[in-house]
Amino acid sequence: MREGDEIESFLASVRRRLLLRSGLEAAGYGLGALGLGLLALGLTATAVGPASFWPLLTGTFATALVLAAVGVGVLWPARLLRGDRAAARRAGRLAPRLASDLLSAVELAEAPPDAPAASSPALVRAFRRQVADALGPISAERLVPLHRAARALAVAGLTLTLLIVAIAAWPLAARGLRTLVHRPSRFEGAAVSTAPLVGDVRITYTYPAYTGLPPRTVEGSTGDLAAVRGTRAHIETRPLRPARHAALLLGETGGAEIRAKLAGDKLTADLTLTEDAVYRFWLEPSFGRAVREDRPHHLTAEPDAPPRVDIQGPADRLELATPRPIEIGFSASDDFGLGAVDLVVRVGDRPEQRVPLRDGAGATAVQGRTLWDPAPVVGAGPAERIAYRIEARDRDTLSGPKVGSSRTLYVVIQNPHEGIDDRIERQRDLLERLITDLAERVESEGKVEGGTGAEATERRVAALAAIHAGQEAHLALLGRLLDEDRREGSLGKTLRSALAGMADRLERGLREEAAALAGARGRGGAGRARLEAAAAKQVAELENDVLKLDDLIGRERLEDLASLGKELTDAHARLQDLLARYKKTHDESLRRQLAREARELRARIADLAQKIAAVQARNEVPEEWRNMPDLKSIQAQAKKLDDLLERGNDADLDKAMAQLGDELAGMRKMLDQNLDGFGAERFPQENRVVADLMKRIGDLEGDERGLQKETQALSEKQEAELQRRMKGQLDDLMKREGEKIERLKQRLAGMPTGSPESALAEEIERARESTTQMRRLLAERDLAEAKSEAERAESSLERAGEHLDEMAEARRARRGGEPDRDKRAEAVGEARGMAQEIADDLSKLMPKGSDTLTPEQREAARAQAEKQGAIGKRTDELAEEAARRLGKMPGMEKAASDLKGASARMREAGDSLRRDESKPAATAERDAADRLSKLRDGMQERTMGGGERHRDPVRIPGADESSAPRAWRQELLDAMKEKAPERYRDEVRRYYEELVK
Amino acid sequence: MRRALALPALLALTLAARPVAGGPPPARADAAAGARQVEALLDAWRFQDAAAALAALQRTAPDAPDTKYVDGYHKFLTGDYDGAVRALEAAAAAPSPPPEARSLADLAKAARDAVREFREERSAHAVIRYAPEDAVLAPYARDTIEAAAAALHDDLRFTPPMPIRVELYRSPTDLAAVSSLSVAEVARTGTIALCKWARLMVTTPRALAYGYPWLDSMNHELVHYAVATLSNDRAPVWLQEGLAKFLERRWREPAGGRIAPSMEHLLAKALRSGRLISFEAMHPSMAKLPSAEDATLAFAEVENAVAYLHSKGGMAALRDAITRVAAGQDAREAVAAAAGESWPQFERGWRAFMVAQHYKTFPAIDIATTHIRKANAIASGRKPAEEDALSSTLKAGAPYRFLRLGNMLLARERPRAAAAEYEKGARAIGTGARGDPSSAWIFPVKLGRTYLALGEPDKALKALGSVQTIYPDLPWPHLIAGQAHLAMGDPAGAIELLRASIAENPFDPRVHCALADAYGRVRGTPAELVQREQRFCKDLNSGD
Repeated sequence: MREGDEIESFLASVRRRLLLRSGLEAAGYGLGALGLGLLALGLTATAVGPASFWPLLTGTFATALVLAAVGVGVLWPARLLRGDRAAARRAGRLAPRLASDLLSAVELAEAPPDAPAASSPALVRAFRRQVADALGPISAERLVPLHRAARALAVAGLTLTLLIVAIAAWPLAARGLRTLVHRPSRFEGAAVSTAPLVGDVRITYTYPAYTGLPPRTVEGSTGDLAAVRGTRAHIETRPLRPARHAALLLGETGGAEIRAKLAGDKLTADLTLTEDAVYRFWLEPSFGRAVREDRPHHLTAEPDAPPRVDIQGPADRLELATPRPIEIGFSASDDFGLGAVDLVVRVGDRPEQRVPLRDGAGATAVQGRTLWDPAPVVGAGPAERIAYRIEARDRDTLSGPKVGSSRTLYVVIQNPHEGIDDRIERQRDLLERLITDLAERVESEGKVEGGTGAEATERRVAALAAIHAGQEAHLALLGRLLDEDRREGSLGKTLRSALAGMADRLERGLREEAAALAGARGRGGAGRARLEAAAAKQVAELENDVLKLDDLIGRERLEDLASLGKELTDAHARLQDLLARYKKTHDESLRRQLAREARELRARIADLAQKIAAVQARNEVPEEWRNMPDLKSIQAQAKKLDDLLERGNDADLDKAMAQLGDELAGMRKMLDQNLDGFGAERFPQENRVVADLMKRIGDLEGDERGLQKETQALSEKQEAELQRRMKGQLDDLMKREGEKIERLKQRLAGMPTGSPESALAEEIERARESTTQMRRLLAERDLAEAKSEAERAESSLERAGEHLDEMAEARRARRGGEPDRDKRAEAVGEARGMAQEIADDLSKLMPKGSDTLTPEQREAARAQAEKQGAIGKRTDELAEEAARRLGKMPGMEKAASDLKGASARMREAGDSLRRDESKPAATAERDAADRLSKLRDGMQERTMGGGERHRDPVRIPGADESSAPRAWRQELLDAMKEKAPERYRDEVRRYYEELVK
Repeated sequence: MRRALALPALLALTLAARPVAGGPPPARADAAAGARQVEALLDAWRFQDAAAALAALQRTAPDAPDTKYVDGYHKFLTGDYDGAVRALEAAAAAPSPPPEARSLADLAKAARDAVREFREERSAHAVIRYAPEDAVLAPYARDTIEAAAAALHDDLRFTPPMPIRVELYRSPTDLAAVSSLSVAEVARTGTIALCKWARLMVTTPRALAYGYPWLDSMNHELVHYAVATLSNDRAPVWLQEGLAKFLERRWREPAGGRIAPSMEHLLAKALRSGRLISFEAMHPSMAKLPSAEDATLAFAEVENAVAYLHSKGGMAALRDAITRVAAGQDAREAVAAAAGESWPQFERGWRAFMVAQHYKTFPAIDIATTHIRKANAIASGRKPAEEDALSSTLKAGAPYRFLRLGNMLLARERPRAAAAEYEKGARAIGTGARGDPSSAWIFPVKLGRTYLALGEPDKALKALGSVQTIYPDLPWPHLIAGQAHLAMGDPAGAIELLRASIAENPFDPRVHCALADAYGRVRGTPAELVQREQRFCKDLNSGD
């Protein structure tokens, strides 16, 4: 290497080393200063609080420090060591021994060769060689040690450690440091004011459209907002401080904000209430720090509550033998308005079905009653458990309609034809065991006949002991059967009491026999007589029980078959009715219904055939009463009908229907005769009781009808007298009242009622109907009834007025302020006044009952009242007797209460007669006689096996007891107007038609 | 045969000699006269003559209402009910119809409806129509008719002029519908078979609670058929019934056997009291008598009258009497003459004959042998059961409880216990029920059956006691006795008893099963007989 390169290399090394040391020192001390500075700033920020300047200040501070460190530690040293001469000087200071030579060597090398004082190149080279050689043992590392740099770095490390410890252990410091780098929100950045920032707050709510509520303004509000979710609120207020900008800071930390508008001295903001929250006003002055409220205002988004729904049914758990229409009452209310109200039905585990009941159409409350027939939804299973409830929806279009549901009621339809098989099977099992016991005992008697002495007695005791043990086991079975019945109630009253009696007697007998057995053991012939007596008693008891049980089983089975037969003929009658209507209307839905019911009929015929085959096979009924129809022929006829319907062959339907009807009638007759004959022979006493009571009920009915004729005659005379007395006035009255009725009619005709489903519309419609009736009755000169109708119209209009008041009140609650005047209320009030006037007119004109009877007629009325009293007394006595004698007889349990019902009507008739009011008396008498007639028919049907097979609706107890017949018909007519689902429409219509008949 | 040719010729002459002026149009008048002739021949059971005359009439006046009427009448008598209805309806629809056309059309319709869906079986002398469910009747009816026809040929020299039509109806109601009797008359007198309009109208034994002697009854009616034919239907009722009753068992036994116990009982009582039914009271039909008891007594009387005649001159005397009646002689005179006496002598002799029989009365004998089942029982197709016609007296009393218990135990194969209950029942028959016919036979029958089940045939026969004799019309004593004989190794004796049971009620499968067994044990019995009984045994058990 050349000497020049070595010197330059040495100088470069020294320069680098120096620069490194200086850089490290700058970094170390710089970092230390930065750490301490940040800590100090952080602590300051903690005291000052978050502010937007902190990040800037912090950044500036850090940047300055970094720049200073770089300048002092890097740039400045680098400048100082620029050029070999500066480096040589610096190195010379570090190594004074070489300082002059090294500098000279550098300067000599830099001097131009032609300079005036230039040395010879060789000398220079030698000198430089010498310097280079002298530098050889000196290293830059030794010359420039890094101890100082290490110290600086240690200071930095120490400072940083201190900073970390402070962040970790001193939250204040940590928060302060975070504040240094955090850009604060408006909420954070604002100064907090405990004093109000705004005044005169006015809030205007705009409710969701579906609520139907009008906008509402709240003056002088506290700033708290509360409204149904989805409501838009317009806030208008006056800032109490000058402000350049304003906002509503939402949430506890102002996480969101709503920009507010400032115009003049007004601050306005709009928001939508979607959830509960708080907000604060925030104002930014033109100069100075923004300010916000300390205490928040509350935003309350009220939920739209689901409708409240209530249901009323005949019972929470109703048990029916056959599907029958069920009366269901319902009411639903909602805070903002109801939508659809449905009956929701679930049969077993199958999917729910909905039957629309009413469209609430925004009303806040609806109520009503309906008759629901479960027949179409019930399957063919042995038992169906139907859960039903009312479901109402509101009209919330924002978060979707909410559903309110009533409690769930249940109806259990236990098809007796299905359940009876199991029941009979268990009874048969018991019967078989009792027969076995009897056989064992009777055979055992024969085996020891003639046996005497101790040995024979021992044999007899042993044999009887074995039989005794077996019978005890069978008695336990009987006990289990009764026990099951206690839990499930599967046996009827008669059977239950018969079996319980058997169990008691057999148990008593067995106890006696057990004692006799114990007494006879080992005593030779001494105890034999007692034992034989006990055993004979058991035989006699078993004989009785076997026969009794056999009778009961036979009757149950024959009743089952007879009722099936009746159901089939009833079903055929329905088919005939459908066919007649189809032929008249050619309505395709009727045809489909016809086909469906024809198929059902076929299936039921097949069921009956199966049952009959089983009865034949199992000898369940004595052969004498096993006269069963040939169902093959009936099935063929039913199939023929089905085929005709399938093929659309209408021409032969009548003939096929008639043929099937003949076959079914023959079948039913045969099954009825079996039951009838069996009952007459096996239950002669019961039959006699029923026949006796039926005869006496018939006698009562005859007497009541006779009396009714007399009363009717008196009533007609009274009416005639009334007409006579009013003859002079009648034409005038007719004309005058006719005009009033016409005016009332016109008034009602133009009256707007809103939704046809509403309660108001119902009442108005009732009033219209009463007006029509009034006109008819007046034309018939039936003034008493016309007056009643006028009173009914008046009542309907009174209720309509109440509905209107409720509606007005609701409007007032929504809009605030005074209720607005409803023209309808005026119209209803006017119409009500007219109806009242008509009723008053008629009332004034009609003479008192006693005035229209001669003294003789009044005497006759008293006599009739006496007679009625006597018939009523006999009816009461018969009711008591029926309760005593028929109470436990299946299907006859209600006879006593029916008789009491008739008796009550008789009392009413008697009271009317005593008041000289023959017309209502005649009506009550006719009703009483009809009730007796119906009861007798029911008893007759029961004795022919048709017990408990009816389709009368199951009503809500007590709901209608006070309703007059006409009111009831009116209610039915109203119910008829309710739309049934398409599938059931025909059936529902037919059902109502039947009822109204 | 000569008479058959002469009548059409006479008819032709009559038609040719009709006056041409006055009265109805000649063709119509001729047709009416011809029709009257044909009608008279049909009424006189001269069917071949009537057929020839009708053919002649149809050639001359085929469209006349009278021709259609007699054509319908003829078809009705020959069993062509559809044809008869068509012809008679056409006649009735004419502007001035023959007076009988409508009522006869109704009868023909009833006959057509009653045999709708019936099956038909033909033999040498008979055409038998029966309901499908009564198929078991057909072979026995056929055999009986053939045997009876042979016997009647031997006894009365009777040859049927055309196949004898036998119709076995489902119920007495059907019988009333196709006959001139009302339902009430049928029910009151217990009439279950008739011979009229050239056919035997017989009710199936299925319609009666115990069955009834249906084969004897069928033969009884066949005798009427023969007598009506042989006498040109001139024999009065008493003679008809006397001959029929006397000869009704000829298909199975010689003439002159004892009369039935029920008849014997009533006749003994009547002879004692002197209250016999007069011959006049028997006119126009035994079925018109006020009660079944009177009818039975009347039958007993007339059977004795014929028996007396038979005792005087055998079958020849019977034939002679019929011939005399056919010739137009008064029946009493004819019978007396056939006996070689005057009527008063005959009458005295007949009474003495009856007294000489030493008839006796029986306690608790069931007079009304025809216990018609309830309509629903018949309609159901169920076979007759013993309990069907038990008296209400018995059913109301304590013995019936033991009967039911015995039945229940027997059905559960506890015969020993069942026997004990039946024995209790038999002991429990009190004085109230002692005179009740059903209480007199039901327990012996039940006990007999139970002992058979216990394998004690001798006790079974002992239990039956005199029931079989006193109640020969009950099928079960014969059946049980037959089964007992079979069990005791007497198949030949069993066959006779079992056939007697079939002659009362062939719907009981047990009788066929036992008979098949018995036939199988008698050497030389045709295999078809065994197979037939086996088939019925199987079919009736399975309910077919």
